[in-house]
Amino acid sequence: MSQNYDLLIAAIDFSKLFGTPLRGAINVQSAVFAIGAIGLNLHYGFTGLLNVGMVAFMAAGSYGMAIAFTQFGGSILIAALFGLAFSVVISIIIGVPALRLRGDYLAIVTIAIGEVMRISFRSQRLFDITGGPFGLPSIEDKAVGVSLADTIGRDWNPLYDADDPTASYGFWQLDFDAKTLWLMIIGWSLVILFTVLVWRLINSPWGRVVKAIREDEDAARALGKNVFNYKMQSLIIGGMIGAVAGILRTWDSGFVQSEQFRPQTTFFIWTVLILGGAASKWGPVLGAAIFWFTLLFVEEFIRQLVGNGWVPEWLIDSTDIGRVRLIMMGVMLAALMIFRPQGMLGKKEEALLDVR
Amino acid sequence: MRWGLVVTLCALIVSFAGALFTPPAQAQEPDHVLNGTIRAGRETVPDLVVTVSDSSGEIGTSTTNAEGQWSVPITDTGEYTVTLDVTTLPDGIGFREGATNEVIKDIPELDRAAFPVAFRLEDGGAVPLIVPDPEWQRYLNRAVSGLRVGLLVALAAVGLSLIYGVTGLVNFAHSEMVTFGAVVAFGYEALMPSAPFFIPVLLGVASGAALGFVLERGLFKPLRDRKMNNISLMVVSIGLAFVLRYVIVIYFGSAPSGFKHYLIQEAIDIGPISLPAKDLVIMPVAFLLLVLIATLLQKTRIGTSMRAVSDNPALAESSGIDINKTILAVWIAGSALAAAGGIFLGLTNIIEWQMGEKMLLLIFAATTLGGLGTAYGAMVGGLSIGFASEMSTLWLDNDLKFLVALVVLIVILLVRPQGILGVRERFG
Repeated sequence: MSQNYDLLIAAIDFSKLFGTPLRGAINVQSAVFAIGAIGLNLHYGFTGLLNVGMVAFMAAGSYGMAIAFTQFGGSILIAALFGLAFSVVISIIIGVPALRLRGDYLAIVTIAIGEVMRISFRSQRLFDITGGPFGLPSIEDKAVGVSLADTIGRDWNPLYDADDPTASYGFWQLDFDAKTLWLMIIGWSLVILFTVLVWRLINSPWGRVVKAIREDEDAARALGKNVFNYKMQSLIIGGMIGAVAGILRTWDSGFVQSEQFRPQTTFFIWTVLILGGAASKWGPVLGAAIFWFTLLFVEEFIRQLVGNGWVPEWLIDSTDIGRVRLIMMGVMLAALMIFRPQGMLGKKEEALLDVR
Repeated sequence: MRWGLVVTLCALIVSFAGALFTPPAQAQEPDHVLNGTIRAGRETVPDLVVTVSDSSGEIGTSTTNAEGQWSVPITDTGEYTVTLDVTTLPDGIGFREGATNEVIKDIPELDRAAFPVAFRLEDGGAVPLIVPDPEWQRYLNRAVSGLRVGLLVALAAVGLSLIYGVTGLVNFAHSEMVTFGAVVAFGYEALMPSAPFFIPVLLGVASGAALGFVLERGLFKPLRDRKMNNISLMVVSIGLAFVLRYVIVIYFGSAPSGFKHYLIQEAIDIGPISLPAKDLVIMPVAFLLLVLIATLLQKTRIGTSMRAVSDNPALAESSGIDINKTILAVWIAGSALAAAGGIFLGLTNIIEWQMGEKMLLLIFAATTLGGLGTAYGAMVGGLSIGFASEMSTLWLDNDLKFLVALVVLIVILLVRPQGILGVRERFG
């Protein structure tokens, strides 16, 4: 028995076991989820809006940006503005019917909008614009012949070295190519920018009203505040932050496809937020890093166990590893909500809301 | 200010919808044809008139030449109806059994120059000409299929609505309870291939009920005892949905499957309606289940207490109703109904791990349309949503029926947020 145990230790690749999750925790993906969670924090943590369709705003940002880039071409930033504008439209479509009603109605409408956007984008009718089920594999401005990946990775990248385009920076498991590193810098800068921005907003008079709405909507209304307007503003601002997350993700991946916007993305963001602590300043950032570290650590661990034949086939085989990740996310979300709803950085009295 | 927003919203929805339904401009190329060669036996038949029409009307006719060939140019994707004028048929030539003089050709993509259309004629003429489906018959068939989908959505929605009414929880794991029923019944069917089909079905429904029992006693009751509020419980149910869904995909697999008893079935005709024989069983059974649940709610003690608790929990408790027992009963009944809905859905479509997830939107739309928390509302809502989404496929793409459900959902929230049968109260 002890010999088996030694064998197990020997078979584990510790460099990968810790390197892969660490890499994931600081990668662009993690910044994307941190930004998404900052937007959701404004919705759920501070305003008490039960938005379970964050992915709709990300999809609006991604597809809006990609379509603007392919159709009108030119600047990435103008394309990104188009994505932001699209997310505002989505906020209004969600907000007008649902914000006047109880919180659970907003939940139903947001998840429905997210799914309908995904289904609409993959519709054959929109083939010329969205690429239908295939998406836009290379977001390319055909008239000029520039692709998004080239623009962001080469033309606009100060780290890009024309003499050595495949140069990588870093050490150990943590070396990144020029494009990824550049996007990581952009991503984490945006994370800091939005954290500070949201914190300033929340500590402004506007933020105090919004928090009052979260605590007791009727009381805020009794004080003469137009609750609907404040909620709508919060929905729009948080939605735009969510759209930035989508845009950053598309800059990183270089393509859009409707399957990227399945509802599970929303719930990854929820787990990130609850883990870090809703209604806290740095909760979304810490949550994203720890979430990705944990997820990838367990996944890598199971992968190595399965690879070495330490787990019986009938229980889990190698095709199931990606699914285990989603089961873990579900368990984490439920367990956090039950045992530590305030997450790591939140305050319990602020996190336990009966949203109305 | 408010009306301004409403008008803006309507304009947005209309323009969004307009963008969706405008056919792609690029497809306007004239070098595609529908064509064919008409033969009776081995002989080609000249001088027959063939008419092509689409949903907006006739778009061209052609007369077969000496080699029996005809062709009509088309410019767009879509569903075309090709009609052979029976008055131009020479004597002694008729259609093969089951064939009609009208062929529906669906062209999803203009990826070829020519799309062949075949008529099945036969020399001999003994076979009588079968009159084609007229327009109203297509509508009728769609309506029947809408009724079927509506009944299934209603089955699942009643459970969701009952649970919401009694506990106040929007249960996002309800879709997985639908999948669970179908998958478990499929498993039992594989275990006992020779048993009559109703046994795995009953076992599937019973497992659904057991799942409801386990979820309530093992998860939601302890959490309610911890004084967790409904919003936190809703997030827990989301987590639960993911766990259930991906456990199902690990053990069921991602490939779709179907009940072995009913893989292939001939359609049968009842008057103008043609439908698979299994639907003749499914629809009455689903309907009976709905009647049964209504009777249970009206006539039995537990049903009365369900209605009382969902109406006013405090008053119900003070009149001596055991709230926890009622909630347990609601979970068991709701979960069993969801499982039954899933099994029927698996019978008419396919069984796959995402089947519940795909239906969740329709279920939510149905419960909201009928009024969150009202069981009869969920029935009405389910039937209307199923009907509306199926009928919409007469004009829209199949995958856009979810868009129809969403538009219905948004409009009902704008106009009558309490739903069709809901009681008006203060909403936020």
